Amino acid sequence: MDYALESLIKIAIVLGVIITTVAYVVLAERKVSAYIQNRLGPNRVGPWGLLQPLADGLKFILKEDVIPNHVNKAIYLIAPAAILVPALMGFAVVPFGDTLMVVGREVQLIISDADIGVLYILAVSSLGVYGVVLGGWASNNKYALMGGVRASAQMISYELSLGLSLIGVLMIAESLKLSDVVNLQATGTVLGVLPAWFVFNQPIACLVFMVSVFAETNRLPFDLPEAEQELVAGYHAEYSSMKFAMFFMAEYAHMITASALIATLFFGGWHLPGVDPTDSSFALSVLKVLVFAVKTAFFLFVFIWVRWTVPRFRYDQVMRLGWKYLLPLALLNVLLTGLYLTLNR
Amino acid sequence: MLSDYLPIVLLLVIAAGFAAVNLGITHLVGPRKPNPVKLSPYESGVPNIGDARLRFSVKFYLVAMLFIIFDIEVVFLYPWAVVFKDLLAQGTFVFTEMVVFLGVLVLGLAYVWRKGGLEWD
Amino acid sequence: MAEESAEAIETEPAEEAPEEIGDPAARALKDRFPDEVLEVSETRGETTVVCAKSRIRDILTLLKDEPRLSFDRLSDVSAVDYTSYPGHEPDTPRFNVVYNLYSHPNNQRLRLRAQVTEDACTIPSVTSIHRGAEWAEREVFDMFGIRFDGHPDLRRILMPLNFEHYPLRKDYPVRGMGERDVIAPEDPGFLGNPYAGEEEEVDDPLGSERMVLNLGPQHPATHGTLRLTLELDGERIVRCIPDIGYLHTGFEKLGEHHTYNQYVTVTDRMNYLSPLCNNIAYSMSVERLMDLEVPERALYIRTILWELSRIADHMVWLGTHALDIGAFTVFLYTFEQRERCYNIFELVTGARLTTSYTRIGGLGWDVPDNFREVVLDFVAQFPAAVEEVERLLTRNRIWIDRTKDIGVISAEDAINWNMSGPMLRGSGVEYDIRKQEPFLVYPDLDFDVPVGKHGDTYDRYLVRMEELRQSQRIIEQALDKLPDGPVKVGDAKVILPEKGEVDFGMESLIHHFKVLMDGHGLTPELGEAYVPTESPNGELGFYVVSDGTGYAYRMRVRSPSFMNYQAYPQMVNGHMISDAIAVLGSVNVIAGELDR
Repeated sequence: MDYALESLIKIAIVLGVIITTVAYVVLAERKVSAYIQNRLGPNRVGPWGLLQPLADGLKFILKEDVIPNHVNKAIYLIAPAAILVPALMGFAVVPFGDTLMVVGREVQLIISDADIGVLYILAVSSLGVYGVVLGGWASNNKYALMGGVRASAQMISYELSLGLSLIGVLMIAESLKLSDVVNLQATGTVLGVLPAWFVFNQPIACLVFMVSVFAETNRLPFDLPEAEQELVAGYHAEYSSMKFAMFFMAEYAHMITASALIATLFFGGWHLPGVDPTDSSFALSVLKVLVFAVKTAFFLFVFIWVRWTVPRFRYDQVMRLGWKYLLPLALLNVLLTGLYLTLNR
Repeated sequence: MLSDYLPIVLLLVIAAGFAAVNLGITHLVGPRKPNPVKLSPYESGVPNIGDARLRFSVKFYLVAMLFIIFDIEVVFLYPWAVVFKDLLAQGTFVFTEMVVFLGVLVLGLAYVWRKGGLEWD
Repeated sequence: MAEESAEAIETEPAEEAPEEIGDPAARALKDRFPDEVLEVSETRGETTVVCAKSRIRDILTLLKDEPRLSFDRLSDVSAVDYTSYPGHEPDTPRFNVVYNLYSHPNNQRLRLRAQVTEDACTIPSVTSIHRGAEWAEREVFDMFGIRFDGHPDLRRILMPLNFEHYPLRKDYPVRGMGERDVIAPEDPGFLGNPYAGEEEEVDDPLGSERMVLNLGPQHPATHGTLRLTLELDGERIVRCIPDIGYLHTGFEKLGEHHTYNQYVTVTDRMNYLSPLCNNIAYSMSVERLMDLEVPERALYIRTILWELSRIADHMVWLGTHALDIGAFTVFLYTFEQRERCYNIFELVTGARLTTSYTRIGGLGWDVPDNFREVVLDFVAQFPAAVEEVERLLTRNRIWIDRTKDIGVISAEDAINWNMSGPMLRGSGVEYDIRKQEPFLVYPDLDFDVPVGKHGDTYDRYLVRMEELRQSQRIIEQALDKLPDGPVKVGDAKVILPEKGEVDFGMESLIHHFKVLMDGHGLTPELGEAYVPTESPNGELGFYVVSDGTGYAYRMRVRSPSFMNYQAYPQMVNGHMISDAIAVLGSVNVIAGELDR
């Protein structure tokens, strides 16, 4: 019972943080893009526009909910949920800190430290594409249909290299638990000076993973399913009010999970070089959570930064990139890692 | 441990509930002023020619089939990757096995590539 | 009978005998088609040949294929309704179809006017010789009701498909005939489905179907209102039918109902990205018609403003082109530069967009004293801005992948399709009117004409980027050479006197009165004139026919967008939707100018 209660509290906190972060990442996106483009961005609602997300949310709720009468209604209604739920569930196995002593209990800062964490996160996050495809098809709109088709084309382009890029990491970590992956990175060094983060001993994997994860989150340069200038809004062209907002939230929640995952798998998670990873005093535990948050925020910034810098691929080009560049690179990485481990056994 | 999955089930329930609330709330709060034009599908502001329910040509179906094959191969690699170091302690044969397995995979990819299976446009 | 009619609508003085014809092309025509060529006139450096319509195809074939002549580009096809022209007799042919030809090898122009009667209102189509005549002939059909025999797709182009009248005929009133009250846009005949009547035969019930998709008029990538009806196999374009006319405003008809100086304000609204170019190009045609010599200072100011307009126009092109391919940030960088250009326009003309700065015979007023510093300030910071965008795009792998070998058009096709400006130069044809048929003060200025090699979207991008740098060079030189002096001709019959003089001087008051009075001020003699100019998008020119009154008898706008856009289906066939958007950006269609 205590365990269930503890889980519930953690879930409530994590979901609350994610949803608030989603709102503020939207604001951050608008602010960062504005500064990239010599503009100011939203600055009317609250100081520095800080209440903008609140206003946006209210607006979405109060908008008319148009359900066009040509749609396949059941699927049309399920689609936004089918994309939002997996996006929110992905975070479950990500350790957002080490442990924390709360009222005499040692609480592990992770919702579920499942044995198959890595597999779970790959499985759940790739479910999101169903929402896109179903939404695109159910709308009975040509642009939406093409958006859905593009989403499936994109999925079969990056998913292979996404999965393969992690093999090298797992070979070293010997575990699918994300907490083990982080703990391993918190000990030892690479070449004597660098922390043992996987970005340093699995650089190819890191590169392939980051590119693939950009494609999975449908962010520019891979935003083909919604490509505004081509398909207008693509798969969510026929969605309005809160249903549209759910697609929106899902994209950003996905981005948060993806950033957290990059930080966890390749940049040491909550580990800060120079801090004793075994010390679990209250102050240090909080510091670790902060370190994790800062790393995640940084990758969120990278997501935004890239979006406002590069043009968009065409969808056969994404496929070419996935199959002809990323897949061979990921295979090569597995081979190199195996060779290295064999020679140094 | 099975108990590890209890939080995940809880999360699923809560996330689904959140989604359901979102789906319903505008239904209750938002205005409703439907009209025929608003309820018709968007197609750049002109009357539609045909509708989207057609046998749409999906050119990349071959790549999609290849994807399923390769994806299963990748899944095979996961358990093997986790125990790789353990097996290495018993001898380097596990590396040879890996090279053979990956070799087959690479050969398949090279064959498809040569045959133009990845060119669909 | 045809001979007599030529006599009747003769507009130029004294018919010349064949041996006196100076123009080799006109002479050759007279030799080869003695019965068809009715009259040749050479005035104001323009050669006009009036001919009968029957062998118009042979005439154009000869002009194109004869190596000595090689008029390989049919720059424009329009028509004039001579019903109320001075000296027109009721029994003479009512219409003349006007062909404006250009020879790239010889750098020569020739105007052909073929006579068409109202009863037999048809003429052979020349699309088999010059494919670029396709849309122009459709427009003549749309506006005058002249049918073109053998035209591949003779439908209305600017007016709604179910429109009943021919608006540019003289008997059609400028305010219309009440169609606005009757036409309902919901009427299927209003827009039409270009694929209607084509039943797709499905022989394979399991095979895939073709999707027909409307892209535009309300679509983020069709800047302005264009409509493309795409037939798609997957995302691959099998067929593309553009539908234009959503922004048709009747500018040509308005030209017949505004005095010459009033019409300057209408030209602002054509290419709304570079309105000053329209102002200047229009004024130059009327000035040629009236044999006015514009003072040098005015010419220099016009040149500087012309190049600033090119920069402003190219900036919008660059921003939207990049935006269409997904690079949003470039859009805001370029619009900042455009704002700076517009600040200069505002300083000079008082308006940012509706500049209306020129007058027939010069400029409305002189530039302000700080003009030089302001323009120099702009020019000084401009290269860095171009450099910044180039760093974002020119060697960007995604950008190159998206634009290289996309929308290719060969040099030969580009000429045949009547393209001009950066579209033509991107295909490797070194044709820039500023060099070949110089106007303003371009002969005194040193600049290069960039050309591409492959005629793809990437080459057109490179050409326009280089043009930006050349424009900057031109502006710097012109500023250095900017002379002092008046900015209007000294002719009191053309130019309004200064306000102060009108208040206190009897003579000025009389001049003021006469210039403004109907039929007394700006009244060119009978005749016609056309001055080609190199606007940011290509050849822009106003073909003005005067009947001796204060209003133009016919105002034809040869707009680059209209001509450049018609080869679009050929450029995108076989490509994907994403490519169609990329090509659309590189054509830089400006709807105001396209639909006029």
